[in-house]
Amino acid sequence: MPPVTSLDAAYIKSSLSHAGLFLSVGPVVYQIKSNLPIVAEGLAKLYSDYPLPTTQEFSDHLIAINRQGILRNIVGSRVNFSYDHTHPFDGMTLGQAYAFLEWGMNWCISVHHNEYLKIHAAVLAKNGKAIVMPGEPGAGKSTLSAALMLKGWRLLSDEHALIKLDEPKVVPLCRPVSLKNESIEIIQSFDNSAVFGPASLDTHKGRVAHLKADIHPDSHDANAIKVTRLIFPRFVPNAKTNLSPKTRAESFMRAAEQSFNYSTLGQQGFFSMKGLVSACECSEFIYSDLDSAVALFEQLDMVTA
Amino acid sequence: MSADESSLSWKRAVETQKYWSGDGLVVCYDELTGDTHVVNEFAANLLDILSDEGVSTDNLCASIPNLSVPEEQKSDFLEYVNNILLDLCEYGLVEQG
Repeated sequence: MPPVTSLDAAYIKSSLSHAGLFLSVGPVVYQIKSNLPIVAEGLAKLYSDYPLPTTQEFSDHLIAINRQGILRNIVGSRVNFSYDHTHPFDGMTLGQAYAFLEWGMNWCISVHHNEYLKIHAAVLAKNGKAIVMPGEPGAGKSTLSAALMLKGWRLLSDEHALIKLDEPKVVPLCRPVSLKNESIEIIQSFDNSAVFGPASLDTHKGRVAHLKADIHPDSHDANAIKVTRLIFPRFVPNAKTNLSPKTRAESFMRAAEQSFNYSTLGQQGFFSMKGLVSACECSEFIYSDLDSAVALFEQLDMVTA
Repeated sequence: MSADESSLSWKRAVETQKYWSGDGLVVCYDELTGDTHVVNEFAANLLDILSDEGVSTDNLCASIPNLSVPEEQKSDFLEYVNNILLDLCEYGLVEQG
């Protein structure tokens, strides 16, 4: 067998159905097993440029996504997600399998990895400085992140800001951007070269598709990056693009609300958040138009300095 | 403010870690419960002055550094401080005693 040089479709398909596809994403190694063609197709589209795994022996997260038992499939094609041979979720329809996989991969980060202060946030970087953009679901952070990424910003994460506990730096965890409903077409028309994985219909979030995110030359650089800005984005229909200062105290509380483990970390969480907020300029960002939103980001000091 | 209220005795209920954010607000971390609160700088100063031993609102105000309140405004000021202490009491950061 010739040596593997990239995560091509054949390698991914074969790995998924045997020992599992070992996927290195930032500091995390997933081991993914699946017999579903839609999963192989999605991974091949979205992860083909990821680094080859350095190990086939160790993974942080063993996950599998497969069809449920044959009797259940008489009623309809359902798939199960398993984590380390347990089933933390109810099944979903076959057509939602790819979104199910990505959400399951997110869940692995959300409930583990307390070696970081984890904030529900998109993270982008330019010139070696990172912006953390916390936001509740629907705030518009993924759409904004996708647009910035397609305009040359480096995406470090669409979902989790992994903040080092002892310094205000973020550890990259670059995975596809999850877009929902009309955001999919908005990004497709924003940049027609955007690469999407399989669309999943009628999920609890509506229609979902994932956008390939490792398109920056440094996408797979694992080094932590200094965070210099905390920006709280909010999509408001027809609103004028506006970046306004936000107090550090309020930003602290908003970021803590969006953290997966601020409370779990106790005093360590407080000190990490304090270190992060102290190091950042804090702002609220309201937008409706992506072009003007991107234009405003291009004027930030981290770009021009 | 009544004489009874001005003689209420207050003490610190828990140890707190504070983040003086520089914008007039202070983030307080309650080491006992893990709760986090935002208070203004004046309230945070009161927390720093309070100890494990009870002190009346009158005496607490007298121990605030660099504070000079005109006699005619003293009653209003004591009421203001007392209301802050009642808020901090609701947060579980101070207690009467």
